[in-house]
Parts: sequence; structure tokens; C-alpha cells
Amino acid sequence: MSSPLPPALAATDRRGFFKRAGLGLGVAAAATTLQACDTNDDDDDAGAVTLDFSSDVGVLNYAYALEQLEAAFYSAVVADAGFGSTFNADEQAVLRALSAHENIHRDFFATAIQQAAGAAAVLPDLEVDFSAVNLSDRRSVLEAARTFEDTGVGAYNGAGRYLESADYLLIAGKIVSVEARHASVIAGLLETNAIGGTRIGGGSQIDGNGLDPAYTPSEVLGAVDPFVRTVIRAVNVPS
Amino acid sequence: MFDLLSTLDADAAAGVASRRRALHTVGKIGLGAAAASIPFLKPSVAFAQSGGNTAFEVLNYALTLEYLERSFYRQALDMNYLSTARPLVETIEADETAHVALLRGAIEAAGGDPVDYEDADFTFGDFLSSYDNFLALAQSLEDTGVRAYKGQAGAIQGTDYLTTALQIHSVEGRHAAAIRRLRGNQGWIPLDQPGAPVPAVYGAGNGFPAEDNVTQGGVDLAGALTGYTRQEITEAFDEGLDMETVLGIAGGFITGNKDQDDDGDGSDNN
Repeated sequence: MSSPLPPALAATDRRGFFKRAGLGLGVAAAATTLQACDTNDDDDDAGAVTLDFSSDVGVLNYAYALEQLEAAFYSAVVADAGFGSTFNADEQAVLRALSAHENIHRDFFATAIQQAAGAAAVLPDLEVDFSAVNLSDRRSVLEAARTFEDTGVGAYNGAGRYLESADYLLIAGKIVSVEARHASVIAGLLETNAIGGTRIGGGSQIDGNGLDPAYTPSEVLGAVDPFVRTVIRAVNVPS
Repeated sequence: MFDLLSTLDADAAAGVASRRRALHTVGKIGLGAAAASIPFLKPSVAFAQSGGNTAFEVLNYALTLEYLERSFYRQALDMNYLSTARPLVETIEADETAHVALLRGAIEAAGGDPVDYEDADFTFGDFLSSYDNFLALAQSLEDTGVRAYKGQAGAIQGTDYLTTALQIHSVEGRHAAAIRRLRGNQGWIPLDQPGAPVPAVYGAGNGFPAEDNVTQGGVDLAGALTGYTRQEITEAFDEGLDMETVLGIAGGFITGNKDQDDDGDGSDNN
């Protein structure tokens, strides 16, 4: 949808995408967007990290960043004091499973990146911000979950072609289909017979060709911006 | 229309033998009267290379699986048991129909010949006799589709087809999860899905571990990570599956004689 911009422009670019992302996410997400603009001013306090897509390690760190975010989100959801009353038993089981899976993904990437390139190559812990989500409100949580999962699917789909290693491509494939399973289940909790939500920029998550989206890092980082205080810059993204 | 793969016939003989072995395994997994001589893909297309699958092979393989799924859902939609699940099945059928069109278009755009199947070329027997049986096979076919696409990612890495294949792959994952939920199952695959009607769907293939695998990227996650059950670790990663094993699963349902049509006249060459 857009080509990556030089690092110097990344922050502006990110905000641009972030506004665009809000268009497709409905009323609740629009409110989220406004709050996130405010917290965005604090981003610098949380530091900045750079994802360098010129190597597979950079692509793995991109996935690691998203898994960090998802893991932190579901950990917060299941740890909320009202978790047992906000969600029915089935939903609790789903959210507990998602929390486990995403934490496993996060831990896996931390381990795999360290093995591949050393501890110094592992992306630092991101500072997250879920203040835009009302953890005691079922719909607020599930809509945020759907955004994370749908965005994650599109992120992996878009990043597959950046990977040079067939082994890493296979591993990414092993994870993205699980993210798709998550996305489908969450969509089904929000709406009977639904298997996906709304894609970035508007329209059904699954298009007329029966395809999930394949997002650029700019699109993805824009969509998750409301939930991350750390500035994430993407450089050397292949065209 | 010329066939780019026709020059690669030399390796096809080995491929046919391999295909027959794959189809023979159908009988072992209880799918009924599967014939070992089912025409699947034209040999020159199906096994043009001994060392790996060409993009055309992968696309026609994917197309065959999409035809199979589409036929299954269409035949189920003709039944009267879907009830409240009917809108979901219609959604999934529409996706599979779109995948068929997309893959056919991709093959034709590249100068290849897409395989032709009709709905009646597929037979599902008792799997269509009840809602529960329908769901059981739907889950198996979707989970197989997820494994099949994943298993070919490396074969089309570096081609323009990779991203599109990934975009289909994740939709199959969504289908699989939705069907699983209709069955009262979890949306993901616990261990190797004990009790599955077609165990091969979740078992090991050639070069691919079973779904209960816990070693990822060379790391035994069951040993390296703490705080998670073994089942959760298996759920967090889907596994790929090779073409031969997938054809062994799918072949049992292909009873028609449609094959690739080289002359473009729409008739069956066999």
C-alpha cells in the first residue's frame, strides 16, 4: 500500500498510517486512536528501537515485536481482577489459550534470535500501553484481540517474502496459521459465523479473492501504534 | 497452449511410482474403496522434478485441494442438516470458489494448464450422511489444507506466488478454526488430535513432524520453556505436510476421471 520511508521520516509516516488504520476499525477503535495520539507524545520517553529488514534477523525481530505485544495483551487480560466475571467459561478458556500461545511465540523468538545472532541482536522489551482497552469490558477486549490477530496475520503474510531462509519461512508459516485460528475464533465470539474482522484501510478482512491481507511493516506498525509506547522504526524494508 | 513442463518428463516415472505409493496409503486410513489408480495430476505436471516441486506443480496441487474442498462444501450445502451453520459453510464455500478461480488464473497467466475437476469428481460417502460426519471431515480437510500450503512454502519461496499462497493459507486456518468450534473443539490443534477420523491428517509426513511436535527451530521448547503445558506448545505451532502424504489423504475422495485438459476444448482427455 505504501513504500517504506527513510528512517528520518519514519515517525511521521507511522502516524500517517496509524490514522489510516483507525478508519477501518470502527467506532471503538476510533476512540482508541484519539487516546493513542496523546500517548504518542510520550513515545520518546520509552525509547526507540529499529527493525532492520535487510536481514532475516530483522524480520524475526519484527515478528518478535508483534508477539511481545500480543503476549503482553493477553497476559493483562487474563490477569485482570474481573476476568472470571467479564467472560463466560468458554471465552475464558479461549483467552487463556491465546495467552499461552502468544507467550510461547514470544519466548520462542527470543530464544531463536539469540541462537541465530547472539543476545545483542534480540530486540529489547517493548513498552506497551493498553490504556485504550477496557479490560473489564468484554467487547473492548475482544475487539482489541481481533485487531491484534487480524493485523498479525497480515503482518506475517506480508513479511514471508522478506525471509531468505526456508527454515525461517516454514517457522513463520507454523505460527501464522495459529494466529489465523485465533483471529477466526475471536471473530466468532464477536459475531456468529464470522471468521475475520475489518482490514486496515477498510473492507472485509478476507477479500473477494478469498485472501487475507499481506501488510507492509508500515501498515502494521501504524495499526499497533496505539498500544506501543516504544518507537519502532522499520528500515531497509524490501520493496 | 503449450505446456512448459512437458520437457521435464524424464523424471516423471519416478513421480508416478511415488504417487502410487501415496494413494495406496489411503486404504490404510479407513477411507473406503479408494482406487490406487486414481488419476490425480498429469505425471509431467505432478512430478516434473525429482528434487523439488515447481511452481506449476504447487499451484496445480493447491488447485486440486481447493476443488476438493469446494466440492465437499457444495455437496454439504445440498443437504438439509446445516441449520445455523449454513451461513458459515456458504462463506467458506465462497472462499474456496474464489481460490479455485485465483489459482486457475495464476496458472493460465503464466502459460500453464490448470487441472479441471467438477464437483461430481469427488465422493465423500458417509462423511456427508450427517452433520457430525460432515464437520468431522471438514475439520480434517481444512487442517490438511493448512498443512499442505505450509509444506510448499519453501518450494515457491522467491516467486511471486509465495505471498498469495500465504494469503490463502491463513484463510484455510480461519476456516479450520471455525469448523473446529462448531464441533465443540478448540480452534487449534492439541497434540496430534487424538481420535481424529483420519489420523494421517495430524501425523508425521516425509520430512515433516506430526502435529504433536514440540521442537521448533532446533529448540526443544518443552524443555527450554517453563510455565506452559506440552499441549499448549503443540497448539502454538501448526506443522507442514509434504505433497505425497497430502495426496494420500486427498486421493481417497477423488473418484472422477478429470484430468488436465491440454487442448482447451473443455473435454476430458482421459
